[in-house]
Amino acid sequence: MTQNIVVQAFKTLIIDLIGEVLYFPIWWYSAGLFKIILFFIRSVKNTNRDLALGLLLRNFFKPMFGVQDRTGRLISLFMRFILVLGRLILFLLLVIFYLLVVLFWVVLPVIVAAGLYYNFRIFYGQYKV
Amino acid sequence: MASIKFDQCRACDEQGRSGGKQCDVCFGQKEYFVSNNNFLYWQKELSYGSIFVASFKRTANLIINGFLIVAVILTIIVGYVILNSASFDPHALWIYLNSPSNINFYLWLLVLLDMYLYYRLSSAASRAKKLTANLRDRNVFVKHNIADSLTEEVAEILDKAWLYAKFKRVFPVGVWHLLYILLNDRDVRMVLARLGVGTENLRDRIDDHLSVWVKDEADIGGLTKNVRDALLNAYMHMTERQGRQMTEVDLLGGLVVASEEIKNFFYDFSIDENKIDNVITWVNINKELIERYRHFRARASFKPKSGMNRAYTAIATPLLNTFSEDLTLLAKKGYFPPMVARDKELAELVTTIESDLSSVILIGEPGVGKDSIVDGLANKMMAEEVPDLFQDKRLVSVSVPALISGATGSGVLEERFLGILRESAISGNIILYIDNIHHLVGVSSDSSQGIDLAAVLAGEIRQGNIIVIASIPNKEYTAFIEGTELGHTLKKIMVDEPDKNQAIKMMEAHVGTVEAKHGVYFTYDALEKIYDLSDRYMPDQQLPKKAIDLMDEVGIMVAKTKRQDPLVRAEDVAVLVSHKTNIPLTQVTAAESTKLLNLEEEIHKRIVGQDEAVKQVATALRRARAELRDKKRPIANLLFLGPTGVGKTELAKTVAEKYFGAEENMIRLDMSEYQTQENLDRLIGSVASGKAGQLTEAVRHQPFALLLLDEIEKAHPDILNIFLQVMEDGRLTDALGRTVDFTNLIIVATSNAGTAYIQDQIRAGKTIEEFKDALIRDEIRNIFRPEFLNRFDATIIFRPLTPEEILQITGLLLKKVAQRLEEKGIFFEATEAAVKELARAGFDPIFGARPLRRLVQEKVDNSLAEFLLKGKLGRRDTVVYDVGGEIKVRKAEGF
Repeated sequence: MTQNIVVQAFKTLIIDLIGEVLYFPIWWYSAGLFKIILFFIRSVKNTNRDLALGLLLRNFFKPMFGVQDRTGRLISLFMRFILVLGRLILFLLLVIFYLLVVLFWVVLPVIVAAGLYYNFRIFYGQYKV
Repeated sequence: MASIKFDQCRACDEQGRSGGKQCDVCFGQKEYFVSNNNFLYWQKELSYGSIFVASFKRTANLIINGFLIVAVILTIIVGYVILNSASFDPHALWIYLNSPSNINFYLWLLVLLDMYLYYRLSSAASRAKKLTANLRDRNVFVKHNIADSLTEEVAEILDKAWLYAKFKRVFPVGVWHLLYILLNDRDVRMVLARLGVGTENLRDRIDDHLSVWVKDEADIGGLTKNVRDALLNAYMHMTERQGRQMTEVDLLGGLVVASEEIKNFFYDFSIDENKIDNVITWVNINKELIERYRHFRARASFKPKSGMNRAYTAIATPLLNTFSEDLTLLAKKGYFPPMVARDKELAELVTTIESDLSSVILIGEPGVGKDSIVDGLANKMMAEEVPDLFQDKRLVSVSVPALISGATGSGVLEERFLGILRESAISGNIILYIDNIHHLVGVSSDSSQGIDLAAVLAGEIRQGNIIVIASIPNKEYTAFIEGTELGHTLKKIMVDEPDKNQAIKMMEAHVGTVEAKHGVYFTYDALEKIYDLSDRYMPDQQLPKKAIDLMDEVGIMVAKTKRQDPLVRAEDVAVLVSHKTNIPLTQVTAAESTKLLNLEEEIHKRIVGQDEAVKQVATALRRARAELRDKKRPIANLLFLGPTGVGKTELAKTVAEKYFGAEENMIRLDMSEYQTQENLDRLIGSVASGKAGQLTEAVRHQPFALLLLDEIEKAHPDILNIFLQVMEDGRLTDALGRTVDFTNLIIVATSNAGTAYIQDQIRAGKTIEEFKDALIRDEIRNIFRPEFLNRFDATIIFRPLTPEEILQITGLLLKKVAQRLEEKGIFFEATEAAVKELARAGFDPIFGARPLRRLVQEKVDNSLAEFLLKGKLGRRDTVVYDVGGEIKVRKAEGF
């Protein structure tokens, strides 16, 4: 009887495991992909908020530090232009980085598969160095 | 939470099959429960086999995950090896990776395993998430096995309960098996500790009685119906707290709700399902607070450190900074704890300001938490989780005392204040908070033409230059702000005292600090008691502050006792409040209970005779001590009727001593001083004179006392009407609008009304019982109105004293003389004949025993005084008082 139980336990475990392994690639490109896209959207939103880009654009023509005279306004406009430009570049760089992460997610299985395939051949001697 | 049960399938008669196939109604499950469009059932095999399989799976899972984690570590190592081989040169690395080798192969293999680990962990989480979403969605029909919602711990507890049943050979698995195992769980023990119960004794009791308590009954899958229902209730408990998996504590809640036996078992420890629920909420509140605190800390890094806003439109505000404190900056530094249970008021504050850029005033008594609402706003502004209007702004608290101090010259103060307002207006990113804004009213520098700072502020607000949040207590609002220019510009937001639920939540949020500070541990009962007692016995302070202060004091008290378990129980709170108020609030101890049951004897040590009166008073006091009284009325309303000098006042004093701890805890009003209607002003104060009333002031300062109304029949009828309300509602509003609490008073009114009638009846040989009704019905009807008499809990009739009683009273008075002399080291005795002579001379048919006291004073005290002054008495001498006022001295002999 004890042997029976062990066999039964193994059976359920193996069946579960096989199902799990088979579902892995499907998950990667469905639920997993969805997850990574959500991450992308959230990151872009947070970056926008943290860099206060929208806020700066809305106040683009408002003088800085409450200086209302003509010279002050001109300097402000110039400063704001620099600020906005700088932060815009930073923002774009970060967005590109997030995009790369998504892209990486998509191509990673292919890279891994290719890597395994090419390097696996070494065991058959063709490329032995 | 009401108890629910699985519905037994009637279609298949609980067979699971009908007509040779699976039952269509219960899907073969025999019993089910439908809720929220979910078909819930219980299906879990309990056997050696299944338990082995389950634990095998758990172990296998652990091994697989462990193996995968090792893969992650190996990836890092292999990665480093490869980078090292390529000499950390990107070009070399590229070449390395492109030339096939076995180390490259291992690298990709390891990456694949890493990916698999990520998939394994996150897909399980998202599967559970999806299932929960479906279960919560009313539009989706889900067939759900409750057994799939168990945490691993709960699943294990069930397995262990089954093994325990096997071990004890008591089957099927009932609620007691489950409770026995559950009591060993850490979380459950913590919950029970908060309820003041240790679990070891409980487990032993269950273990000893298991075979007796578990009845032989039908089971499905090895579980009794009761256990299955408990699991269903536990599941409901979980959904109610928005949980995804059934925890051990849910199971405890389910057991208590579903099983009458368990309910009664815990009831003996005064634990019911509500309390368990409340403790669970407490644990959850703390988790939520920690989460919110972390969230605020995370947001803090994005808020600028200086006063500059992120749009760079603000200006420097040096003057404002001198007289103020930047609350958003303090919030950034983490000074303010998350706000609790005041979300409604904060939302109202935000929308009011947002709706038309108006300024607001928070009105509420000191201690209700106005500041904590403002701190809550500061936290939210710091995290920028507020509407646009508040975004990128600073909340700055102006200190009025700092502003005023040192502003001596003419116009300096106005200049300062205007400067601050100007800076705020120009900067445009500032919301001002002015605490206790009434301090601005009437403040102006010496020679300005009577324009005070309040008017200056009102002008600025009206022009829309600044937004102000002000705060003020109720009374000050009525006195200084309402109807003024400033009052018109500020929109009112009332901040009331929190209700019980909110107050306890606030205490729960705070209790951790107190526990850490004093090294104690609060039970839930203690918190509830703190709320109840502070609410009832500290009427002059406000919740939640008074409760939090009391919590701190109890913490210190318990920490100082240095007892073995530093658990703060409800009883500790009662002890402290008793000590503060002189009211007996603790559980009646055995000694006290004996004293209470023999209260008549205790009272008779001071009062001679008047057996009926003493008995009625004792009964009323016992009722009050056992907390069986109506808490919205005074403790007791008693009317003492009877001739003068028979012990009415003495009994009142005795009651004050026995119930409130000392004779001094008595408020005495001679009602003969309130014979006209105009005297009402003296009693409850008057607006015209601005004076507080004698009665209301006395009760406000001494809310726990005996109120003695002497000669009540002499008071004006309008004044009696006031007492009508006091006796009925237990409170009275004085002329200045303050409500005074009378619910902790014993009210005793004395009256000589009907004396002649009482004397006649007694002389005719009738007992009080025989003529009491007639006395109330006929004799005193003209003096007191029936509704007034009805308000008294008891009308107590005192009868004239008999000569024997007079003799006893003489004895008592002489005993007092003896006590006084003993302090001087002199002993006192009186001969029997002398006592009799005094009693005879002191008794007066009209004045009762009153002349007796005077007589004792005249005859005994005077003679003694002479003796003492002449120096004829030495220490340890005995003075003997004899007939005719003769005094003999027995000199002390030997040592």
